[in-house]
Amino acid sequence: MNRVIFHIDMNSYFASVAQQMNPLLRGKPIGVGGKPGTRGIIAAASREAKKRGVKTAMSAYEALRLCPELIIVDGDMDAVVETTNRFLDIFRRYTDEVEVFSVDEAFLDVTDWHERYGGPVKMARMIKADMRRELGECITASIGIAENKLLAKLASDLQKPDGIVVLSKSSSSTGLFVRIGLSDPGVRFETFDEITKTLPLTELCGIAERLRIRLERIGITTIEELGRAPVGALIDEFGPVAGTKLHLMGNGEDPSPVISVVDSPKSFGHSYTMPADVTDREILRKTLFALAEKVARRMRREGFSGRHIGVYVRYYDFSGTGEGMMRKNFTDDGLEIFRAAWKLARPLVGTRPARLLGVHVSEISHRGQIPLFPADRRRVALIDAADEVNDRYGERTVEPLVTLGMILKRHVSGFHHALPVSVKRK
Amino acid sequence: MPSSIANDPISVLVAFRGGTVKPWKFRWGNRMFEVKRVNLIHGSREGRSRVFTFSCSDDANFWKLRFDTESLEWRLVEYATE
Repeated sequence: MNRVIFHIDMNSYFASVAQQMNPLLRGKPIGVGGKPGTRGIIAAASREAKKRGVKTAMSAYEALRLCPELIIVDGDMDAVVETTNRFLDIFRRYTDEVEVFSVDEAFLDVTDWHERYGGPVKMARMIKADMRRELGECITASIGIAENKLLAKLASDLQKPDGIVVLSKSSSSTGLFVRIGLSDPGVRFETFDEITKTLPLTELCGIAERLRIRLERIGITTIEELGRAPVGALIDEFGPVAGTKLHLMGNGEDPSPVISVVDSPKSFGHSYTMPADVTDREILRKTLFALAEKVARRMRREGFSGRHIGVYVRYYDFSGTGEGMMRKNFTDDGLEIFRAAWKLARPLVGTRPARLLGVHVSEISHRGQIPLFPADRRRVALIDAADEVNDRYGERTVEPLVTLGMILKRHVSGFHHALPVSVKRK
Repeated sequence: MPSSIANDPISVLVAFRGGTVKPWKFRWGNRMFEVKRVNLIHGSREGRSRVFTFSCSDDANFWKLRFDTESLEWRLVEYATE
């Protein structure tokens, strides 16, 4: 039986949440993030701003040059996360198979459920109606309906905002179109064979710029050409796994399931883009300490410790370098993570201006046993006590003196793992 | 109209309707405001405190009202005027 997959993609999400909260912003070009005069970027633009040429990840300077009336607002991440959790709750009322793909998009496998709602299109309309009623009129989504995730994602991109697009592999396929019917007002019907004649390769989820350049080097410039390329040639160029996957993608096929339960984390990390390029080792040391503390706090909260410490430095010219080391023992102590990370980072900084610092811990295990030696036990007791105070009175009520007063601004990120979005874990 | 950040204590009259609570009127300084619409309600945690934020408006004003369930205190935390 053919599957029926939805890809639901929220439209101009961060900006829409801001407009939902504040009606004075509705109908106006707004950008979330990127304070003027800083090197911050616009994390999301409203529809009105997009019409004026403002794009996601554009610098505030460039955005204001294109659209001087642009209103730049701070994103309210708590409101965004809550809205995400609410739309995920709506989706989970319709099917238990919901894959959280990012903070503003999800895949739903509705194969076993759509008939009870009168078919996929009616089900999509009901989800939209629930969203409008429960989240507000500004929070809209485009829904792509297809027989696999690749096509569903492609379909949702075809009509924005607020669209419903049904994408079938070919007009001759006996899949979705036959079951849905070809005439449903307000719904766009497309076939993969037709749209791939005009769409660039990068429209396929999984093909970004670097892969596009590699494909172009072997003479493949369109999705249609990718589909026609012999699988052997793709395997020769990209290896058996990627080559086979690319061949399937070129033919609109994607056997991957909707993954509603995610694995335990494999690493924990934080990075920070500094307000200005920095060569001062003391500032970089403090920043790294604050990042190590954040990583450790998150690990302890989720009950993990790790023993591989890695650092990453991105320089003013966007070049970057990283180092890593394996410890003998597992740790979830910010001070220990910092000491290892600073040992690695020290030779990498101070000579060239750095714009970003990152620290991550991998080789993860569930939090270990109580230490043997009294000094180590006292340290664990101190950390546990500090955690208890911070749980009770809010983050950084108690913190190391060295990070006191340091503010690492919260990222406006599309990655659901960077935010407390509700996902089911194994 | 960029909004302004505040952290002012306010007195709030609320309405309990349909199983939910919504701000109806509030006093900020010497002025009384009537909430016409509650556009979004979201919760967050500050330590163990659960905090609810009500994004409200009338025809010309936007207000963000914050209710701390631990201290049972209302504050106006953001506002904008047309």
